[in-house]
Amino acid sequence: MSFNVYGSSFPNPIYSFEMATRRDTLIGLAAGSASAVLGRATPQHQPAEPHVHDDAIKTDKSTEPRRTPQVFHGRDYETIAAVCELIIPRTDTPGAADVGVPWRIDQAVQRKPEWKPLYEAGLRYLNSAAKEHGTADFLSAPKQTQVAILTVMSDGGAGEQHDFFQSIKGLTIEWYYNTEEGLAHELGFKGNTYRTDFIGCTHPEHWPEVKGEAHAGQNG
Amino acid sequence: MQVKTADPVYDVVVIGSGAAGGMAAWNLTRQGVNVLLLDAGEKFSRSKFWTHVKPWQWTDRLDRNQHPPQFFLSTDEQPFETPPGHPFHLYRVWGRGGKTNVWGRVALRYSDLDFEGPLHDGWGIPWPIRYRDIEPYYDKVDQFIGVCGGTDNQDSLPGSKYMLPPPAPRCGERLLQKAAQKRNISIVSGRRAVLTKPHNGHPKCHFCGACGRGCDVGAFFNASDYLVEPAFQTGRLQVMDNAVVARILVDDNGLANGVQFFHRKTREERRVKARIVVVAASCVDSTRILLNSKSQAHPNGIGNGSDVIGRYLCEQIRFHVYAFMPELMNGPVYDDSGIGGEHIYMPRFNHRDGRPRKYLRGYGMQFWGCGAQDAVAWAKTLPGFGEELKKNIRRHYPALVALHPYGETLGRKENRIVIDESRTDAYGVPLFRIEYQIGENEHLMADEMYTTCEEILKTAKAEVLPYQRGWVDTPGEAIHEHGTCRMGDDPKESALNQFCQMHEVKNVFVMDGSAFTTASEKNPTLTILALAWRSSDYLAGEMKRGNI
Repeated sequence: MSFNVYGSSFPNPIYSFEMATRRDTLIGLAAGSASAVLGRATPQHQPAEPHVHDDAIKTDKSTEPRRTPQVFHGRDYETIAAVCELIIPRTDTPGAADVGVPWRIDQAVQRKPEWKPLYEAGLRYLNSAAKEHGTADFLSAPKQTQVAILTVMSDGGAGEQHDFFQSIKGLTIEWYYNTEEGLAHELGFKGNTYRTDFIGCTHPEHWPEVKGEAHAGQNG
Repeated sequence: MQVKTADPVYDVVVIGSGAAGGMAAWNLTRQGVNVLLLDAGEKFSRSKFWTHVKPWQWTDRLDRNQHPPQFFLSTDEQPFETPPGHPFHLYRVWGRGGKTNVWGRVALRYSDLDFEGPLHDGWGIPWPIRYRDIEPYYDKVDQFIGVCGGTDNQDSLPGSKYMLPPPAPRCGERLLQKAAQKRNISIVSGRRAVLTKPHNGHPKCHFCGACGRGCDVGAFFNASDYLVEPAFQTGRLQVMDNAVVARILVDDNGLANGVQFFHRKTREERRVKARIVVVAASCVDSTRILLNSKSQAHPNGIGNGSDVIGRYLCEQIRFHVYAFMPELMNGPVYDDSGIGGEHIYMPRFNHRDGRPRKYLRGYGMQFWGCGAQDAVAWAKTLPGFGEELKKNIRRHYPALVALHPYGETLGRKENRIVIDESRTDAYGVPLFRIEYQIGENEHLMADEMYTTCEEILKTAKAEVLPYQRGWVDTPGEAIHEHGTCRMGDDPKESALNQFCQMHEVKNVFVMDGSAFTTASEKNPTLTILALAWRSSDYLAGEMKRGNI
C-alpha cells in the first residue's frame, strides 16, 4: 500500500504559475471573482450518492449476536432480571425484563469487571434482606416484600447498597429507553425520521410576549 | 541512457483538508494555483454513515460486530500526554474534511467586541484585524456554504444579509426565549450552517437530527463535499491520502521548501517539494508540526523565534444545566429533531447596561437537546422505581430543556502544547504534551454563567435537574482549540501577520484556529473559513505579484 493520489495530473508546477498558468490564472481569477460575488459553488459538484431513508437501511443480519449472560448465572441472573422488572415494570408497554435489559446489565458488568464486587454485594444483600422477611431468597419473596426491600435501598436506608441500587436503576433506565419498546412505544420518540419540513412550536402561548423584537427569533 | 526526472515542486502544499485546508485548496485552485493537499486519513463515504440508524438498531448492529465510520482518531494510534490532575480531552479527525464531517454547525460571526477585547481590558495582544476587514469574507462564506438564522444584529453578534430561513424554534426553546425576555436577556434565532433550503447544488436538511453521525446527503457544510470536491473540478488539485505530516522542511535561508510525511498505515516516508506551505491541520496538529519543524535556522520550531508557538492555548469553558418546562409536562410528544441541535442562541450581553463584572470578556449560550430526545439519561435522577417512575419519566419526556453556556478563556503563556522529545509516535516523530488549566477569571465567569441559567429557569418556573454549581467540562470538550500560533502586528508577540503568514518565514501560512489571537465565547469554524478565504486571497495575490 502506498500513497493514493486523487485529482489532476497537472504540469510540473515549477513552471506553471508564472508561465503555463498565467493565462489559467487570469481565467481562474475571473471565474473565482464571479463565483465569490455571486456566492455560487460549481453546480452539480455533489457526488451522486443516494439518500438512504431509514426504512431502506437494513441491518446485516447474517451474523447472529450472542446474547447469553457471561457474568451472572442461574438465580443470580434471575434476581437481576427481577430487580430490573421492578424498576421498569410491564404496564401497557413491555417492562425491562421483556426487552432484554438483564442481559445488557450482564454485558455492562462484563465490560467493567470493577463493578462486579458491587453487584455481588448487592445480590447478597437482597437475599439476606429477603431472609429477614422470612423467605429463602429475594426471588422467592412475594412482590410486596421485594418492593419493600428495594424501597429501603432506593431511599438510602441500606448503606452502601444504595450505590448498587442506583447503578442497576441507571443501567435499567439507560437500556430500557434505548429499545424500540421503551423509546418509541413507551415515550413516543418519533425522531431520526426523514421529513420534508419542520413545523416547530405552534403554540402562541409559549412565545415571547413582544413579537417582532430582535430577540423574538424568526428573522428578528 | 535514462533521464532522471526532477521531483515536482508544487506551487502550494496544504496540510489538512478541514475547514481551513479545504478553503485554502478551493480558493487557491480556482485562482489558478496548483495545490497538493495532504490528508492524514481518507475520504469518509457518506453512503456508509449511520445517519438513519435508530438507537435500538444501533445497539443491534454493535451486537453483530458491525461498526459505524470511525471519525475520531484514537489515542492508541496517536497518544499525547497531560500533567497529572490536568486532563485535556482532545478530539481529532484525520480524514477528508476533518472535524467538519461531524461538527456542531454553529456559525457565529466575531464582532469588534471580540477583536478589540484585548485593547479594552489589556489582557493579551490586540487582533491585527477588525470586523470591517473580515465582514466581506463572512458574507462570502455565508453565501457559499449556506447558513440559516435570523437577520438580527447585535454589537456582540453581527447579523448577516445572507441567511437562509431559520428553522422554527421548538416549544421548549420558545419558552426559554419567553422567560429570558422577561429578564431582558435576548435569545435569538441560532446561526447554523445547515441548509433549510437547497443551496448551491446541495440538498436541504431533512430534519432527522442525526448530524453528529455525519449527514448522509451533505445538507450541512463539510469541507470534503463543499470545498475539496469542487477544487478537484478546477483540474489543479491533487490530494494525497494517509499522509501524516511530520515536519516542514527548509532551505539554507530558513524558507520552507517542502514537507516530510509518513504513510499512516505503511509508515513509508515521503518528502515533497513546495514553494509555499499552508498549515491547516487544526490547532493542535498544526502546532505539533510547527514545533517539530526544527532546523538550524529555526531551532525552536519553524517561525518560532518569538516563542509564542504552542503557547496561549485557549478552549472555552462550558457546562450544562437541564430542566423541565411545566407547560410541556405530560404533553404531546413531537418530533423535536429539527436541524439537530439548537434553533436558538443567546448572544453575549454581560457588557451592557453597566452590569458589574468581576472578570474579563464574556459568554454566550447554546441550547442543544431541547424536547423529545433519543436518550433519557436525565431519568436516572428521578426518584423511586416501578410504575410511578415509569409514569414520571413519560411525564417529563417532552418537557426537557438544556442550557449550555460557553465562556471565553483568556490566553495564558503557560497554557501550551510542548513537544516531548523523549516520546515518539509510530513514525519516530516526537509526541506532544498539553499543559492547560483554567484560571480565576474563568471561575468567576462560570459563576455568573450559572446565575444567568438560574435566572432564566427560575423565571420559567422550570423544574431543574440537580447540578453542581461551579463544575465545568473537562478542557477540550468544546472542541474549540485556539491561539497556539496567534496573529498580531508585533512579531515579538505573535507568529503570524493578519493574513496568517508567518512573520519569520514568509512562505509559510497557518490558517486554522491556532491563528486566533483570542478565543471569544463563539464557535470558531465560520471565522476559520473567513480568515482562510481572506488569507488565501492574499496568498494568491502575492504569488501573482511575484512577492512569494
